[in-house]
Amino acid sequence: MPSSVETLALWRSLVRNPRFLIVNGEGFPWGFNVKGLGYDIDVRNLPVFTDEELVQAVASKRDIAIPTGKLSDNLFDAEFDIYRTLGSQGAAQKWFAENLWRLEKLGTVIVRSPQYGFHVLGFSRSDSLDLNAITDWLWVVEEDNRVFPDVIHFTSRNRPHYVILPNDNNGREYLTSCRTIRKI
Amino acid sequence: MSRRRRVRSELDQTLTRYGISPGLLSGLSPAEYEHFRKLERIGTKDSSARKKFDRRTRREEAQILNEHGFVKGQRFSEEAFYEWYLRSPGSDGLAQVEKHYFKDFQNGIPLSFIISDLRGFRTTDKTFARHFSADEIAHISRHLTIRALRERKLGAA
Repeated sequence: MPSSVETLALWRSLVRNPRFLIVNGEGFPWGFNVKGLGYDIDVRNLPVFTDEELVQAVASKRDIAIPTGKLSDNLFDAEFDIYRTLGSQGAAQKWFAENLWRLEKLGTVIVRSPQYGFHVLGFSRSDSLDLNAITDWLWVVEEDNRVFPDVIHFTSRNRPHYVILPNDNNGREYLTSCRTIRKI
Repeated sequence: MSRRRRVRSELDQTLTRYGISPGLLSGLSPAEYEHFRKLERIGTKDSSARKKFDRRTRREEAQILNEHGFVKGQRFSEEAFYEWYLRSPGSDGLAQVEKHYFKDFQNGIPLSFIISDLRGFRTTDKTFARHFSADEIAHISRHLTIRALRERKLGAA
């Protein structure tokens, strides 16, 4: 598991001007969601956090995230909830054990979620997605017809989408050995 | 989703009256028809052609599923959808509509009737129109078509 300092350093090497967000968790009328930011943000007016605040947030069991889309060099996140499509977290773990080579072949950073889903990260060459090129790229994993993205996060007019980054205590990890992000 | 009265397009009704059953692709736009016709023309009699059809249609379905994920991602920016999704993770309107209407196809209703129904609901039902844009209906139609094409030519999965 990477430390928060390592994660910040890695993402500074991947994105030119990263705008990190602190994920506090958010209470909704139907319950608490740990993935909610807990404060309002607008793409035109993002909060700025110091490294100290970011490290402190992780130390106090909160998460840090990076927005997708234009704000991060056209970063996109294809989210595969295989624990759902395969039926259980156990089935997803088994799939990872048997198919890690497929994920390695994508040649990009892949984050495993605590529920045993995974996020494939890529940079789009423009501010729109070329789904034909993305399909060719992801075919190595989507060849298995039970594996398809639940959501592809990219740009949003108002509420930014974001990727929660792995740290020591949030159950996320980098799945493959690759530490660069593929441009599609 | 509540069942609504089916509205058949005039063309489909006329075809039925003359005893002609509408083709699988007759409900699509001309551009989409050309695209799917290329796939439909791949034979499935010998095993190599069958494999080619299987591979190309699976790749086409993968692209539609990627598009689905992207469309759904965009819908997260809508406050109402985001809040509803947080309450019901793992479900989204598009998938539910696809599932519901694909059952109709499996029960023998021609696909073109189903697609014209979906388009018709956007003009007759304001709530439906508020939830599903024309692009989203086109996406649903493409997904139903590729699944129907595979089922028709390769048998039920």
